[in-house]
Amino acid sequence: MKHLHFLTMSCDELWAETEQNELAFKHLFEREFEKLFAYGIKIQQNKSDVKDAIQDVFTDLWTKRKDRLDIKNIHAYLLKSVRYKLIKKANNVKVIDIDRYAAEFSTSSREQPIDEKAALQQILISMPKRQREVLHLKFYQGLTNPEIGELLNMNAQSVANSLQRAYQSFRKNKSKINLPN
Amino acid sequence: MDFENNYEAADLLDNQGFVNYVLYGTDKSYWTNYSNTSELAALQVKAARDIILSIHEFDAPPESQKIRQEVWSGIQSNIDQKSKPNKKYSKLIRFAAACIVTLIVSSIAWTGFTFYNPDDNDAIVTSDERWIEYTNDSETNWPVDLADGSQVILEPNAYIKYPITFDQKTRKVLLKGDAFFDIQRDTLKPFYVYANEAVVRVLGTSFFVKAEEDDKDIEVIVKTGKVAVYRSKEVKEYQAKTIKELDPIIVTPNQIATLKKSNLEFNKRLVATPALIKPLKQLTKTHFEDSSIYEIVEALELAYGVEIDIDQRIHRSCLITTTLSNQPLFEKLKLICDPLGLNYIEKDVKIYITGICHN
Repeated sequence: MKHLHFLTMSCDELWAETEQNELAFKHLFEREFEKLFAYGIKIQQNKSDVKDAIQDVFTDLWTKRKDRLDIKNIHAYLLKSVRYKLIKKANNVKVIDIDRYAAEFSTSSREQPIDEKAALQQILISMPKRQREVLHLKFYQGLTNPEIGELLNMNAQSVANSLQRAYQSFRKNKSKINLPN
Repeated sequence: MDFENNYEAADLLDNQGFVNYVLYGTDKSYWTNYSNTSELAALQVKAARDIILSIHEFDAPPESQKIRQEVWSGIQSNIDQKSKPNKKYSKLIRFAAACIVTLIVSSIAWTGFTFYNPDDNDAIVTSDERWIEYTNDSETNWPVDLADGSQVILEPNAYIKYPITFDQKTRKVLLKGDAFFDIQRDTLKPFYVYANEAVVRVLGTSFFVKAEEDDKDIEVIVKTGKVAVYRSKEVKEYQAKTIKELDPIIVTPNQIATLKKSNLEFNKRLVATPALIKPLKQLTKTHFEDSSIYEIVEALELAYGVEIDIDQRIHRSCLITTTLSNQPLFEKLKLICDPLGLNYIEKDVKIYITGICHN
């Protein structure tokens, strides 16, 4: 039997291994949970809804694992599934307008800027929520522009534009955050 | 290095290579060199980096370990409900659920030599194998998969050292602390657990080893199959001979073997509650109607893997009606013996039934 050392495997490899060895599934969960939770509470601040969504997503994934073997990017798939569950739930079991909910990507109110870090935080808070979600997916979740587009039902160009506008916000506030020209 | 591109901070943020550098440390030397080309470049790298890191910091979720455990338990019970027909899956996943996971990559030394305090048992470590060391510093049991498909469940604080692949002749692992072993049968490659003063040679499948560092004695408890326990000292002294020539203590299911650290003496007793050693449905007969106590005792011996001696003065016509279930052995014996006015005692891993049958 091939030796399996889960600690050295990528999430995609863990998913591929799940078919043979169900412990890989547990490792995949451990590896993904924090990131999915981070994304989930940005969409829906109610922690218990986020918990339920992640739980359902993994349960479904396990139950239908035989039909899901072709998933190439498991992280992007999980993000999308969690997002879908949360939006579906918020919309009372009907999915009508995903974008409308995407626009509600939540940010909490924070204190006034006192230093450079706080200034950055302030800029992030004041951003349109869709832009903020794109930034999260790009820089926290590590997705590429095409992956973000796929997830948010946008074309890659719109993702790029959204990022550009986000950079503009940083630039406009450059005096506060020490951004060179 | 030639940097044709004079990146602006926005260009840097748009550059997947740069993002990967900040998030995962990829191509670090390239970006350090770039940063050193000019003061402006350094400022831009810093600004772009700060933006990415601040997003990371602000978007990190609150402490979520407890929530993670709750969610996994939820997934667990969902899966159990949905996969009832498939017992194998639900059992394995259930077992996995019992574990809080702490993935501590840093506690694994891939070559196995740098961080490891050599001790006597290190003699088993040959340099041509790559060894993995793992200490379970979580608060619950943690499974470790071995190359041959065997599985070890480490209790908290237990330490194991095992090769990435086993050599041609034997399978050897090193244990400190308590662990449960579920070993793949392979008669051509015996499995050895080196646990301080004891060496356990596996002849069957699953067993438990308690080998704590302090003065506690070493205990081996067998669940299924059969193991042989040796004194490490002897195994080393007799390396020229084959291990089979030594005189080990053989441990079978529902038995506990103890190796006293003080005088290296073996001792064997029954576990507190001997349980069935195979599933009920694998027993040839579970219901007995007006059957001789001798027939029932024979069935109990097979079902619990424990030797039972019956006083020959008890007559064959001592009849009993009973059904075997998942009850522990002593409970069952009490139910059988009490109404008949018989007694049973446990001595030297055997059970003796005595008395006069009242029926």
